[in-house]
Amino acid sequence: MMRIHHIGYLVKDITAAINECKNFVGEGMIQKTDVIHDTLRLVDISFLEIDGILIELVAPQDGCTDIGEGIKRLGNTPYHICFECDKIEKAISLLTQKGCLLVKEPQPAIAIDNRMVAFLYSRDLGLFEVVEASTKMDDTYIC
Amino acid sequence: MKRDKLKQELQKIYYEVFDDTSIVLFNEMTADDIEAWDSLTHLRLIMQIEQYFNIKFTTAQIKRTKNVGMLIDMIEQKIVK
Repeated sequence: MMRIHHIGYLVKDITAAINECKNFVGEGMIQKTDVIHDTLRLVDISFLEIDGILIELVAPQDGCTDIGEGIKRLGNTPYHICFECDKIEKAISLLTQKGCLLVKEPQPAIAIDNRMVAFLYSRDLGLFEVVEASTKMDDTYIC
Repeated sequence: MKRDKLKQELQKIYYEVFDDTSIVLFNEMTADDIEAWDSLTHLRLIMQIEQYFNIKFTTAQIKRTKNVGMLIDMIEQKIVK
């Protein structure tokens, strides 16, 4: 069983994007994390919560080729949905059996309490992410 | 399947994925030679190839395919197995 965890939103300027969200949503927006520098993926990340939905703002750092290419081509845009699963290896095995491509092998995600995440691609749904559910009793990866 | 025939079949897949029948494949061809060939289109291309030839690429192989020649080599190896 997979649940929606967050929506990934590609942005060029993360601070400007946070401010724009604040302008649009006002007090309905909660900034759940500061800007986190993910040196493994070469991206800056910040999580916002709007109406109970987590939004992951992702901005490429210098040298980040794939996301950098995405921002050049697509501009600021939502670009993936992340699903939470209980066991990531099991979920990947199931999804690849169903025809998905494993695009990025599981890696710890610093912005999500080092939980394991992976990217897959579906012919009919495009790019999506899976994140392993927290094993902590109190899931407070976000401030 | 002979390499020339394989290349012809692959070219048809490129036509479909890129919606462009003017594409003429050559071994050294890379994403720089086709404007629409970005990382997401590359994934669509790989999926189409997997389905058409009934083969599976590993994640590392998907990333390693730097040009058309390498792609044909990999398909050839997988078809032979």
